[in-house]
Amino acid sequence: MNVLEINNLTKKFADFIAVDNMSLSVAEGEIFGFLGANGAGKSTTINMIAGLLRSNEGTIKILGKNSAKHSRFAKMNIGMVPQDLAIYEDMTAYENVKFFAGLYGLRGAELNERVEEALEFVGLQDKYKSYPKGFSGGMKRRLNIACAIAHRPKLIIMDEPTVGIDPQSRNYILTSVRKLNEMGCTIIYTSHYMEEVEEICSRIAIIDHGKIIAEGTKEQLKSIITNTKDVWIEVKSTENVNLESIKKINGVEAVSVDENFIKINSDTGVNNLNKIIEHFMNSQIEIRSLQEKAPNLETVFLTLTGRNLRDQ
Amino acid sequence: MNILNIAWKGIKTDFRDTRTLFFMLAFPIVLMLVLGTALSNTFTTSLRVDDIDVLYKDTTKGEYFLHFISEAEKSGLHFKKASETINGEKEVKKGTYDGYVEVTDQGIQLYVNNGTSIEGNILQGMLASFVDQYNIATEISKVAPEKLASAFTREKPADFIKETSLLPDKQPGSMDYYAIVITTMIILYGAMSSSSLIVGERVRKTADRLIASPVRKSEIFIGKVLGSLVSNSICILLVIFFSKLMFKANWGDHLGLVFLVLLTEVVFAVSMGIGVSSA
Repeated sequence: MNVLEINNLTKKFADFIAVDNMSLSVAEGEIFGFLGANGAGKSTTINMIAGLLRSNEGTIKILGKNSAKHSRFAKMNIGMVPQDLAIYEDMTAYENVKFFAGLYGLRGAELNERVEEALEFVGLQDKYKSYPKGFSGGMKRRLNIACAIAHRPKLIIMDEPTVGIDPQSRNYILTSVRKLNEMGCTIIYTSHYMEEVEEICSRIAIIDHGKIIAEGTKEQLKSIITNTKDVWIEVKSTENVNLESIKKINGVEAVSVDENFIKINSDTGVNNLNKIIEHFMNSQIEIRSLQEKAPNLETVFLTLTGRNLRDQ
Repeated sequence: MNILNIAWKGIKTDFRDTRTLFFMLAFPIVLMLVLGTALSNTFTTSLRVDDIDVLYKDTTKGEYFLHFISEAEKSGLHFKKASETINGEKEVKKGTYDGYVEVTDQGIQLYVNNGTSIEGNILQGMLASFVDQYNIATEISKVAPEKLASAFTREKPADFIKETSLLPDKQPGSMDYYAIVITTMIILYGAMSSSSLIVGERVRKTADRLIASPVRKSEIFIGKVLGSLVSNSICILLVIFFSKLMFKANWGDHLGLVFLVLLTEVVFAVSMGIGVSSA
């Protein structure tokens, strides 16, 4: 059964088309990853699914029911973890979760039980009387999640839930996402961290300019680019690197810069490594290391969009 | 139920906010105490004047001024005739007497130390009245001397102005005045906190979470407004009772009605705050 079905969804802001005739479905029990650069239409799509925005065209079905017509039903079954922390600093962790869970019709002992359960789930059971003012970034993120899951939604939308937190908290959140999924929740997950999406998502959609340009499991996505390889060249300084001239080397399909690494996506059928090295030497750019990598999601994204996910 | 849930959350957080408590409770009470006490004299309508001692010299042959003295002494003025050797002006300067009156055939001259003092004003007023009466008499004697006697034989002076006071014994004191003024001012301050009711949710990014929940926007709005109304009303009620019990401010005999009137002002202030913030 599909928890989410989107058909021909379109959203326009004046002349700008943020989401362009998008269709997708997410089956029960999936962790569905949304990959897209800033402004690709990812957040607009998520906001429309959560009922924060209205579409211009198309339909969204939650558990088989049109969300425009059965808005309350749809909202009752969705838990939204927004990218920006949406918690009250002047209420304790317990009160925050209780307030938001109360909006979903939970009352009395059941409400208290669910609140405790949610706080325990995110590891804040010892902090239920504390105010978020004194929380670390990771703890606030976890509270942000607790506020979205206390009413036990069928579909949880997580918009960049690990932004700006320490690796320990990130691991905790990723483990929580897996646990929620094991408990039967379907999850839509967006992140700028490609490795996170690759690690936890069972299916991934890559969005660019409001359209889904590729969709499938990570293996299916990687298979799109089996005829390419990645060459990562670490240089002392990227200052004099001319990406356009690298692109002109025979077999090179895409080039991007990530800190001191020049990431070159190249055709496996063309032996151009010597030409690439020669280019760097002629440009008097000092090479520190050179690695050939198997394609990953980042390579897929780079190949399909021509951009690095964190470039923008 | 969601409305009450949202309203209760608003009330709880309002009363936790030390800034709200300071501006809505401590500030008006302290202001009332300071202004009510410091400016209490401004609101006193009664004025105590001690007996007035007047030195006089009458060189006329008539007894008119003696009649005036006998009448004036009933009002606490004490007249003493100056001997030939006494310099009246010097006595007034020394402060032995409040005033010195010289009555001659050419008229009356009054010497007081301070022309604007209460005693000086009283003396001046009484003498002016006395002089006016005899100026009238002079004029009557010129036109109709036969009616001169009847002009002075009236038993009681005619009352041409009638003054009526509704509650002559209840004059508002400074504390009564400042209790109502500051309470009214504090109610209007409520507009500031209510201006952030909706905007605050957007700034905190909690608005999205509220809208994503199965609660209608109208329920969110009513809940927020209701919470703000109740918070402000509780603050006003506490200020009223505190001023009434501790400062003995007079809120009248119909406190319930007074509170209802103030409640309408709370509604106005909250509406204004929301209106301004959404403009």
